Amino acid sequence: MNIEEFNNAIKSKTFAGYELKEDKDSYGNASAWIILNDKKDIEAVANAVKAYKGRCIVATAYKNHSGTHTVIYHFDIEGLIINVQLETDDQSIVSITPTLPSANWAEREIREMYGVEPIGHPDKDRLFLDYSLAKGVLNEYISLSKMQLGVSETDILWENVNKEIKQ
Amino acid sequence: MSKVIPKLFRINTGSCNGCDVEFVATAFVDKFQLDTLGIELVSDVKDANLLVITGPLSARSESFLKNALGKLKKPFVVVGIGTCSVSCGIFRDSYAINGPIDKFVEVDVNIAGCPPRPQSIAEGIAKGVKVLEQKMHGEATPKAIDTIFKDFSAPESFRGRMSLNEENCTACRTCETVCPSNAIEISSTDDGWFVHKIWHNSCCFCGNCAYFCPTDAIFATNSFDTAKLQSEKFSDVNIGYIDYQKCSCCGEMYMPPSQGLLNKSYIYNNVSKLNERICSKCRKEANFKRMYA
Ligand code: SF4
Ligand code: SF4
Ligand code: SF4
Repeated sequence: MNIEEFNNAIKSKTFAGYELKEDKDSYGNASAWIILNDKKDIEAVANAVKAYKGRCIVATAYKNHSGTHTVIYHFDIEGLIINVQLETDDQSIVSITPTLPSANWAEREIREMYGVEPIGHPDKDRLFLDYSLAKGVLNEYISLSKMQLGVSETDILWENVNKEIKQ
Repeated sequence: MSKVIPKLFRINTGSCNGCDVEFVATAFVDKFQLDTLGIELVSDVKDANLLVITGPLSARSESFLKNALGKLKKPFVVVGIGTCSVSCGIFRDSYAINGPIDKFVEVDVNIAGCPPRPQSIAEGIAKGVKVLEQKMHGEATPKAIDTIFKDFSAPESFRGRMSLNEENCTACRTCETVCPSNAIEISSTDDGWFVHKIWHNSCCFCGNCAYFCPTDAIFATNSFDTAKLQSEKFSDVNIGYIDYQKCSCCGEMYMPPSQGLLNKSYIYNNVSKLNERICSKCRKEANFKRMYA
């Protein structure tokens, strides 16, 4: 399996075109970056990954300053890493979980953390147990110290301390 | 008076096992003298009158605790081992935690520490036995109990209770920011003082505060005197006062930099003298004149 072969496999299947960049890490492992012009073409890519018995490793997302979201899927086919980037301006993407079950968790994470709905995802269950996490929580700014330390947000116990001690 | 035989049962309510390991060490190592207290370890909670609890009470373990509480012999005594059992420590405010345990049961003795040293576990259990004797004889729980074991010092490199050197503290709030268990609070008073508090029953001995303190003002002692009655739970606090000073030059009140920092910055004696007891504005001026006047 190599990048050229994969490129040939998806070329005729996608309809809006894409940009392809090749890369190599310091160990010589090849990887490809594919930037889709139309987010719907992710289905064609997923079908090709499935045909080569590949899997979705993980998917990541972020919100852009303009309000759109960028989603990047990371696929693996026999050690070749294929990163596919797409953009959505209506908080929805086409779910590839029906094609590649390995995308299940990653897409649910994107649904809850960024409020981007994977349309056609078979699993409607909530992924994160903590119900106080608002939908799309990572669209907002969260300071590093809060994120890292989870600094306690209530003062109930300190109120008791301050009541008890003699100053 | 009839002799009381304390029958001990332990329940883990979501502990990381740190406390449990120390408890086992305490129970098995002769040096800690648990056997001299006449304690019997029992395998069925129905036979127990001394309940030892570790952990912050995770949501999942709540029903197990309640179940155990319903089966205990009466009267019984509850001893919590570890900072988790007292205040939930680093797990404070997690959605998965329903503790601390005193929300569900009247606790008699707390042994803070993460985990506590065997010496303090032994001390806490000994205090628990004292309370049990009192309850058996229909007496009220005492407000204070004398320490039974005397030496709570640990080897040099062990982090025990934190302490503060007020002279060195500048109330910069770094320690308060980096403390993962919300054990430090720094507040200002109306008359220009700062109050620095370390609540020992929340501290998890991580050492972050000491590591990040720019002036070495906060530091770990190797003392593990952490077993206290429940009535002392909220008052077990290290309090430090950090004062404003009057500038000997202009008379304004100012927050003095720590002597430690001054010594680091101004290594020549005469320069360091020049900077003593004056505010930053006057210090700048004095140093400017020294260099360029
Ligand atoms: S107090 Fe510390 S050692 Fe004990 S259970 Fe909690 S985290 Fe673990
Ligand atoms: S050692 Fe310091 S930073 Fe760590 S929990 Fe205790 S007070 Fe907080
Ligand atoms: S103890 Fe150290 S870190 Fe904490 S407020 Fe004082 S100077 Fe700052």
